[in-house]
Amino acid sequence: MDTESAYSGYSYYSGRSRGSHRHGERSRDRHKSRSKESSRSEKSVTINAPPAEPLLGDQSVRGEEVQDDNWGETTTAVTGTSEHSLSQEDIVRISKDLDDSVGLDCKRYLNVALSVILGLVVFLTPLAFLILPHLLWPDRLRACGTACEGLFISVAFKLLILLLAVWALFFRPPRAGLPRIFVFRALLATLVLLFVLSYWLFYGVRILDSQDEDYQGIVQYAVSLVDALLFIHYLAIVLLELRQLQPFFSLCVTRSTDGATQHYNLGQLSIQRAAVVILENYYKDFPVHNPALLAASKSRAAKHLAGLKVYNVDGPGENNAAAGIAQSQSRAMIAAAARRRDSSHNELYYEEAEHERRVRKRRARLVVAVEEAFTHIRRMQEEEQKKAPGDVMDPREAAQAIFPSMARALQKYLRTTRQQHLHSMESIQQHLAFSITNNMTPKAFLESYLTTGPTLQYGKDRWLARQWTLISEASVTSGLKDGSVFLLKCIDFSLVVTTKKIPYIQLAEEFIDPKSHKFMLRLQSETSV
Amino acid sequence: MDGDVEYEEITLERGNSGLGFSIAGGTDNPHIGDDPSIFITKIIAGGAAAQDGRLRYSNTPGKSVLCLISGCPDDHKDTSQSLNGLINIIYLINKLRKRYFA
Repeated sequence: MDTESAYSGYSYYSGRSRGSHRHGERSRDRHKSRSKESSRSEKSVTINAPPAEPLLGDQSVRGEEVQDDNWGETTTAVTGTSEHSLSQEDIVRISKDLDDSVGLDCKRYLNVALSVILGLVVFLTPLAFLILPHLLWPDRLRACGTACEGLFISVAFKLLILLLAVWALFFRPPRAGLPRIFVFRALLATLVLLFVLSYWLFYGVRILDSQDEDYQGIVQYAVSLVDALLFIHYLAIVLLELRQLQPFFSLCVTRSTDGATQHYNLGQLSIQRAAVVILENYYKDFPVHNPALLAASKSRAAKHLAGLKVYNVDGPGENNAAAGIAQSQSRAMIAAAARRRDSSHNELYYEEAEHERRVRKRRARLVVAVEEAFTHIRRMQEEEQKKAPGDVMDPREAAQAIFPSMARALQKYLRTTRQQHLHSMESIQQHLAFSITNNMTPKAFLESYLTTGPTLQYGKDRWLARQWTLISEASVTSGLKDGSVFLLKCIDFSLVVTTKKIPYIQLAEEFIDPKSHKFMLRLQSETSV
Repeated sequence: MDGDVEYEEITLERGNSGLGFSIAGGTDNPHIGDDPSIFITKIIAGGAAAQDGRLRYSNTPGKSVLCLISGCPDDHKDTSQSLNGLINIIYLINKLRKRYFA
């Protein structure tokens, strides 16, 4: 890793003076030719290249054609590293796609089918109660009076309300597929089923068998069923939605690769539901996972014990002393490594200082280049639109027109901050067109490149980990408790979640009379003698 | 010497700009809480007290309280007048009160 950075540093320094000189020349040429025709031919052969290729791939092609000094930059091992990581992500993506298509879907469909059947049964039961007497013994049925017909209206409207309420609460697209059943929903479904069955039992025995003639009583029975169903729906709202609104636990989520931490306040949820909430918030709160930034510490760690070798001077011992020898060997290595005067902290300090300086310099160049690029286009006014339809461009063409002047600076900056695999040229141009359309300033356009945003900000294909594994010692349907720890693992990293209970807050009251605020001047208290 | 107080006797010669320190305190204007003693609050750089070096800046209970030979005064005006009136040599006793631990 050291040699790599040294090599690229050398080529950067040697190429820089020539490159900037040439860049200046080229920009002057571009300014001249801009008035005549669009500058797409100048230096931007790659703009018409296929859009899905990442920026770095294009740059290597460009480097061969245009500049010699750029050759050094584009063919160092840095290029190789990013290509490797890209291809690994591709493999991951392919395997993930395979996994997605099988298995989970039938569980989801089974759930949907069961709930639809239950809903139909529940909905049709009161109607069946009302219609069956008319079908089975219509002649013996006593005529329905006014009050009874009023109850028909009430049944109809209550059923309508129940239908709307069930649609609102239950028929939403599912957010996630949980590993175990959702306990509250299962309980409620069982309760509803038992309830409806008991009503049917009663109806069957007392009304169908005896062929009761009192139709008003039957209608009232059906109304009571619908009322009770509405109350069960109320219970469902309280159990599924309201109970976890009040915050009860504070969860601390740490990413294992780089230590990014967030805290969330959640109510009394089961572990799997808490995991879903955390993952939904993960995509918007955590900065995107960048494996390129972790390579440096790994190489440092490898160097720590690299130079030490342990020799067993006493000769081969017996078998039962082998474990003791191994232990003493490792202890000896640790002690020797601790005592060794290594200067890796020195290297780290200077490397970080140098990197910081380089990033800041490239950032300054980038900001200037983008500001200058944005001054080359302006929005056309209404009147001009009618008069001169000559050199008019839509946002995408305008973006393509000014992109070349900032492309190099932007790409260098992305490479220095190791973000180049997150942005493809197509996405940068799209973002540029978007910024131009919405009248954003250059600073607003640059914001998504200067700071690493959350994973949501990057394209959908960057959301590599949609398959998460929940690792927990306690059962995942059990509720959160103070001190419970669980892991959310995806392929590249894992999120470690610890729970703490929010303490009971005892608020006391103190009343201060507004008239009691009185002040006085201090007398000249010091005297010099 | 009392059990928990120390007296340090300092003799100062009046310089060009007076004795070179400021006092604060007194019964009508207590400097710290409800302690009516006179405290030394500032030592003017280059003055007679600074050059002597033994007089110390006091701002917390338990540090230097000013006492004269006639006793520890608790009236600001009288003390300042008497200190200003003295011409040449002044005997000051710097009373160090040790903190009381309850």
